[in-house]
Amino acid sequence: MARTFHPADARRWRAARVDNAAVAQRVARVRTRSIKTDSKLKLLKLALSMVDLTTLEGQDTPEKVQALCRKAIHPFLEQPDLPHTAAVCVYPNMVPVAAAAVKGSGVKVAAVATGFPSGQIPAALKIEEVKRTVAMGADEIDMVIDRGAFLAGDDQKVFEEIAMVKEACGSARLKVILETGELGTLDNVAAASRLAILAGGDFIKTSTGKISPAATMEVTLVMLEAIREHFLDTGEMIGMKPAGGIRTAKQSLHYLVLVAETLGKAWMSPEWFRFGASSLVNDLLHQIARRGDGHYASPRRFSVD
Amino acid sequence: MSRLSIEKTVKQYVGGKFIRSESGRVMASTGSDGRTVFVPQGSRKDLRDAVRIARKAQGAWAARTAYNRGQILYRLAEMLDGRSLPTSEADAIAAVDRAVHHAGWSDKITALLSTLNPVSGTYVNYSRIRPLGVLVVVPDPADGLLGMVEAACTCAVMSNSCILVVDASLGELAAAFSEALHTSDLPGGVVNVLTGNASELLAVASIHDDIDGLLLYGEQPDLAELQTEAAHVMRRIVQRTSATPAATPIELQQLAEVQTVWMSAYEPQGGAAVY
Amino acid sequence: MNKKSDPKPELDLKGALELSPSPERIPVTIRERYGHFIGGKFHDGTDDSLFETVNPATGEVLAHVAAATEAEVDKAVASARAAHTKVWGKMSGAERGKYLYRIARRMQEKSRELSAIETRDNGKPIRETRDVDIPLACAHFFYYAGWADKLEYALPGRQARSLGVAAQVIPWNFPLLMAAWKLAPALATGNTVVLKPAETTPLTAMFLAEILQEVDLPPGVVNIVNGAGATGGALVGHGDVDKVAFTGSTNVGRIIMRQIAGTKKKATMELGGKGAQIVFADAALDQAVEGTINGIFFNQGHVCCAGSRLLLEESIAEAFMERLQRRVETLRIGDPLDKNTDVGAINSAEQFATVQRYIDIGRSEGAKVWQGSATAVPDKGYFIPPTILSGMQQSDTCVREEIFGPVLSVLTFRTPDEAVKKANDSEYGLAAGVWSEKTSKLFEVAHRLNAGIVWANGYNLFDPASPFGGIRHSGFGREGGIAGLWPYLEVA
Repeated sequence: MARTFHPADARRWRAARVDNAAVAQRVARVRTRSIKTDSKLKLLKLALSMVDLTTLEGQDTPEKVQALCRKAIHPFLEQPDLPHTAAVCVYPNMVPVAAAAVKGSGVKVAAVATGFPSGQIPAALKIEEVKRTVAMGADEIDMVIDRGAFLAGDDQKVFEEIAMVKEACGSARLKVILETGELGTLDNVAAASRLAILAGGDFIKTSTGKISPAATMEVTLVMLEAIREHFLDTGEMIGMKPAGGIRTAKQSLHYLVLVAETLGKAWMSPEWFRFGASSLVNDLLHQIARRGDGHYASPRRFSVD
Repeated sequence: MSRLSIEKTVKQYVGGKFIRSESGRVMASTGSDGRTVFVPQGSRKDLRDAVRIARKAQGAWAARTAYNRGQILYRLAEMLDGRSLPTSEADAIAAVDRAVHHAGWSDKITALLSTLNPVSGTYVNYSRIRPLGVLVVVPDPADGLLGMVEAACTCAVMSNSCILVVDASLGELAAAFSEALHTSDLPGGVVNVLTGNASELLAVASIHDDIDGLLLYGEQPDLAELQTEAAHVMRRIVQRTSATPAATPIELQQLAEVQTVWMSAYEPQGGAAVY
Repeated sequence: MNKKSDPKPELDLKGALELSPSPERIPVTIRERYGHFIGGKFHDGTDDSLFETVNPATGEVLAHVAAATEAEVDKAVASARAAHTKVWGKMSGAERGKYLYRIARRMQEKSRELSAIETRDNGKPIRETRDVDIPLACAHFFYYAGWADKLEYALPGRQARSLGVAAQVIPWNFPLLMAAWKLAPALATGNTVVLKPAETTPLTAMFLAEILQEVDLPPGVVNIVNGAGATGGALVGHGDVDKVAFTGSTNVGRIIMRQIAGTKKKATMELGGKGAQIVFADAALDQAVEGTINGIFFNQGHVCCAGSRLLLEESIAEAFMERLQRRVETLRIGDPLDKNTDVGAINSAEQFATVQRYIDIGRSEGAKVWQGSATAVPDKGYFIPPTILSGMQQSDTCVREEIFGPVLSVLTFRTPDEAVKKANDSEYGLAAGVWSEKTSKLFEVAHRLNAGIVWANGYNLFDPASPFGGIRHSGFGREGGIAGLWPYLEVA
């Protein structure tokens, strides 16, 4: 049953207010966290296990996707005990290939849908795309919201699309991409987060990765705070996924500090937090390997694919 | 046969009203024409009442527009000019011109002394000028009417309220000044005038914790005592050698406070906006 | 959906972030004994009243320090006078400025060591000294260096000149930063100085003295005498001092003002405070929580402008307290030298006892006492966890008196008028904060607060360009900005 839009809820989420300077200060403080030795290794491995290893290119081919899946399952053959990534993330056409490649490994198949990345196609087509993608084997759907409608103030349209997509997902988990880089203000990010959660999203996600700025710690903090508020109101957990622009292990660890200090232990798992990234994996491996053998490796030590 | 003159008792001016001292005491002083003038001997209670009234009036005075304050101080000059005053012509002219001068500061002085501070970070940071509050002012008798005008106008233009403590020897002049104040649309309580034994009243003021500042002109033999008592509440004591030169901006600043405000400013996502 | 009878959902924040120790390892050079810096040279001082300076996190004695006698104070003042008459008072502003720039640069180059020394001596976290104290101290010298040759713009319409010799007494809460706040404007305006650091935190001042030697600052321009109350009294009371600048408690400020009454000495006083942070229902609440924490728990509440009173609009008070407590439970208390420590040690045994006493008084007056932190309170050293007192009234001791520790007193209000009234209900007037997303209300409330500094949607923000100082019992005079020049100049 798709959730119902209530104007009173919309008034409440549109009333969300965030102070930019204070958010910037909080984020700056998180970046001063010094993560060393054992705690660092643990967090690096956790970060690795949270990656949605992604390829979303017009030029993707089955071979490319298979290579990606192999990397997701065995990120670094020299250390077979490292966790696999949480998921791979591909376009709908590549879902069958991915599903076959990761079968039995524990790696989930996430697919973007709903006219990714712009979302500027009729709602009926979005629903159809989601149904077929799930039928092809997607465990998770990453949808985009209608930013135009949001900025035009048509919360009902945005809400109902999300609710219908959630229904079309069936048992697949739904991540709702807000495309924070287009929303303009942190107030809007706060409002869109609450909208997406109430409309039925299982995860809220920052970006498509196709425009700049993509994920930032500032928008992530605002989204985590929305999730926290929802949890404290209802007891329901919602996941969060920053995507795009997270390239270094150091960055990813700072994101984990933010999650730990905002939401706590329960969210420190791939079940509730993901990184939408591709090159991040190699930097994580670089740091993990270094902790292991003390050498500072060359980037060539890790496979590009 | 010479006509019998009418003996005069002048009054103090507090809260926009002419009052005697609650002590009932008066001091005999010599008027400008040689006649006796009875001048109230301001008491401790007079001062306390005046402080209470001045405190009450100060907020509303500060809340008026600068333009309005300037108009009122200019009107003081209007009321003084050409009036028959028990002082020399030179003193009267200087006093009128001084009132005009300070009236002109009202809507400018804070612009001169305020700053927009270039801090690091997304904040709009400014320092504004705020009044000190209630001041007790002792003009130098040697400065005559100019001294009273300088004292009153510098306090008032900085949005303070004040209590002038005028030595009984200038009681008649103080009363004339009060009449001009009264007809200048100045709200009651903004400038108050007490007369009597200035150093006695000053000693009372020094232990009154609700006075924010003392403005003293000329020699101050009791300065050490005043400063010792002021330490209790960190009261400002501002000294001027003479009222002859008009208070400069930096001297006006001493009758005021600097308040610095940081306003969190918005920075668009993705970095500084390019317009 | 949750019903009221269901147990409230809880977040597990306390144990969520496991961090391995990350101590600052830069080696520091701390001598066994310090005396005084007079006439450009280091003097051992006398053995008569040697005292110890201690690391409050560990109890370790860092050094022995001599207390300056009256004779030594006299020597320092004479040295400052000679330097003013013969050298500094005659030097062009441009040249003076260049010395200050040199000092700023050297301090920057030695930042890391300075932070590590400051943390050991004071007890505050390395993150604070590294990211706040030392950078601001450098910035302060940079800022005033540029004023030295522009003093004709400092007093509108008037020519300015220096006062002569300044006696400066500083506190233990921001030792190097307070030294910078005192020295930079005094030197830029052509005055010479005798400075007395606090007896519990003399080390960074001594390190600074080495820097002053390295930059070839003319001897006697800055003199530093160590000691406690007696030395401070001798310094402030010295007949050949033109200016007194003091930062510390209101009580000591009063003593000093009485001591100099009747002399021609000019003074500035930067004294205590009981800062109020007002949080309206329409505030950005999570950020207001950050501001609250920032105001009282980082730096252990050892700040004159600490936001030690929290005024909450009644409609959001309960929910805000929950948010606040959740955030406090992520604060790490522990070894100040660990880069992840948020809350460090209380500066001394004396201050520790004082803060504990206030908490006890609060409890006895009926306050609810809540304490929290992410990590366990160390059993060695002087540590007090973030403490929140609620259910307070305006007349309670912990609402009226300055505690100078990590203790927050919480009250409520209903309207903006009431908020302003309660915030202004204090003999102090140093700093305040306001949180609201409504601009018109921010301006109105900020301007009505009786405080020398008001932070709107922020707290404890400092900058050398921004004048800092209080009204009423919080003192007079400003440090920072153009207004920071005024106390050190007179009309020529």
